[in-house]
Amino acid sequence: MALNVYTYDEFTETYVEASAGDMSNPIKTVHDPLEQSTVIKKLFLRNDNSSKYYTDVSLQFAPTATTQNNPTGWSYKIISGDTKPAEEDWAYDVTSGESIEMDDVGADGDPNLDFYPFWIRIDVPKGTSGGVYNSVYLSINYTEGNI
Amino acid sequence: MSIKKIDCQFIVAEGFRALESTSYGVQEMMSSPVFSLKPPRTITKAKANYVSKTKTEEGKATTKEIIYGTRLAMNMVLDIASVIRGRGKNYVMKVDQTKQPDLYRAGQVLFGSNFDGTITFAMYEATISYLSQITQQLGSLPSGVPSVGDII
Repeated sequence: MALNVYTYDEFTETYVEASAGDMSNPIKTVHDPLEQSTVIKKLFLRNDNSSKYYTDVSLQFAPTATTQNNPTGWSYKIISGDTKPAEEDWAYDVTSGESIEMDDVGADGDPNLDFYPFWIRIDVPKGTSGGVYNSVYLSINYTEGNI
Repeated sequence: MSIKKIDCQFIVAEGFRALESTSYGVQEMMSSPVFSLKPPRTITKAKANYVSKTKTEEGKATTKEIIYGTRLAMNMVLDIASVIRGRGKNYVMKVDQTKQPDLYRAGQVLFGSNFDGTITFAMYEATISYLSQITQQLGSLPSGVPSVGDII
């Protein structure tokens, strides 16, 4: 019960919570190694606990502790907002691995259980070896308060 | 300040295009004894209906259609098995949603609605294990179960 990241399943029309630590339901993208591959995905940040609120919220892709299976030349970007960012937004407004500030989620005495949309963009260079890469995680940084 | 680490998985699918032009063995596999199975209980009518829609153009799934959808899902696994098995644990296959709509929907039945066409070695192994279990637990399909090419 806390701040979570969700995907939206259009088939079942439900929000699906991403896993945190057990890889049971990771944020997943699929790439074609035969060409430069870019996947842009809309995700949501949400507090599911009406007795908590969150400030100083930010998102950032960070490398996992293991150095195994760690590819080079990849790019991991985040942009907050509901509207899909344009190409120039990705090119000029954000850098790979940059920390992105999000709005506060609720306030003291005012819980907020809304879904806050944001976008991720994963770029994989042409010629990357096939496989499953768990080289980064999506870090939610926050300060938690009790309502 | 606290940190929560959300899992990420990026799949580079070496076999991304491999299945687009292959339909080998489908007929043979559909007639294999391994398909003499009842549908797993976890497969819902709604999902099976989703699978069978392309075949029936109807709104509701009959028992036959559910079985058909299940067989289609099993078929998908075995169709890719010969490729994945030989390539090792890092191998990943991709079912093309546009060119293989039946197999794609079958994947949603078998692997869940989040299935996006990607089949990893682990998914393949888990499904084979599951198929083995229900093979032992369940009997044969009832008579009249449709085969490939049948009009349901």
